Amino acid sequence: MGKRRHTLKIGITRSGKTYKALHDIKASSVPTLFYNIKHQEVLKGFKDITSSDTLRKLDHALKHYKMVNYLPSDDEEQREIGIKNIVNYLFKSNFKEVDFVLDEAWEVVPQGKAKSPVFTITRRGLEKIRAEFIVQSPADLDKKAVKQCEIIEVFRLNDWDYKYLKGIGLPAEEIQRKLSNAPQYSFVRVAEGAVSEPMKM
Amino acid sequence: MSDINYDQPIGEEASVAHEQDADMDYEFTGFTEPKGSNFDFGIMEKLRTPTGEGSIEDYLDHPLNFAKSRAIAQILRGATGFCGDLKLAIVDVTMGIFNLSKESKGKKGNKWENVGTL
Repeated sequence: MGKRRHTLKIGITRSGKTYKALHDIKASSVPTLFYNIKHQEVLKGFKDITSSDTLRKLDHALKHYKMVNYLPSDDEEQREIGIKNIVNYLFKSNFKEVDFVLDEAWEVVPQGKAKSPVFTITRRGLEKIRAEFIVQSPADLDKKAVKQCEIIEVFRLNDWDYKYLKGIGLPAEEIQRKLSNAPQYSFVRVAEGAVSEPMKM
Repeated sequence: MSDINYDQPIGEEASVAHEQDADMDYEFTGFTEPKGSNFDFGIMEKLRTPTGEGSIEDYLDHPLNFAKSRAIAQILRGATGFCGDLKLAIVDVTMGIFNLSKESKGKKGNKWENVGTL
């Protein structure tokens, strides 16, 4: 796998991005907190944790189950507080490495949100926390978060999403070309300016 | 692991005591009494009761000082601190029982006479 890098997964609904994220988590040995704002079904082996559970329970779950399915509250204020507490905890925890995967990440770091505790993770680099953002459209996520992702996995997108990718300096035409003939649920990986060949789960 | 309250729910505002305490300069104002605990049944509080007013000598002529004793005077001063001026029903009843037993035994001219008259 090599160096750990913040990652962005983008793709329209049912393009396979969340499914791949869950399989990546399962394949990884790094303790991972999956921020499941849609409360969607996850793979076996995840430990459910909610916002009413304590940080001690979360800590125990990460240590012993490795994969945590965090189910945020429906209440927006409580979600904000939860994110702040989780980020604070992740930084101060004893883990050498931990992954924080946010599904529908635009709900946490929407375009234009100047202050989010999550930026603390992306700004400080990869001291110990690797962030992974999953969104349907790159335009929904704050630009700062997008720019701090060194790896972008692109699943099937709408035309105007490709225009947005081009607008932020990514090789959108090459990505679109490679994906256009690829089977369903394929994706390409963009890193250091290079676009991989289509891959599939 | 420090500065985190691990027993707080994730969705609740963090208790700020730990994080802020590290940055604050505390002014030590001495020890304070613990609040709200009745674990010692209030004994400690009772033990801090101030003694009665006046000097020990003031209690030599106290009605309950049957021996005009300095030692008894000191006890009476302390008892006054606990119970007030000792004009208590329980004191009257107790001393009355004591005097009754004396009367029934027919002892006269005894220095214990009229003990307990307040």
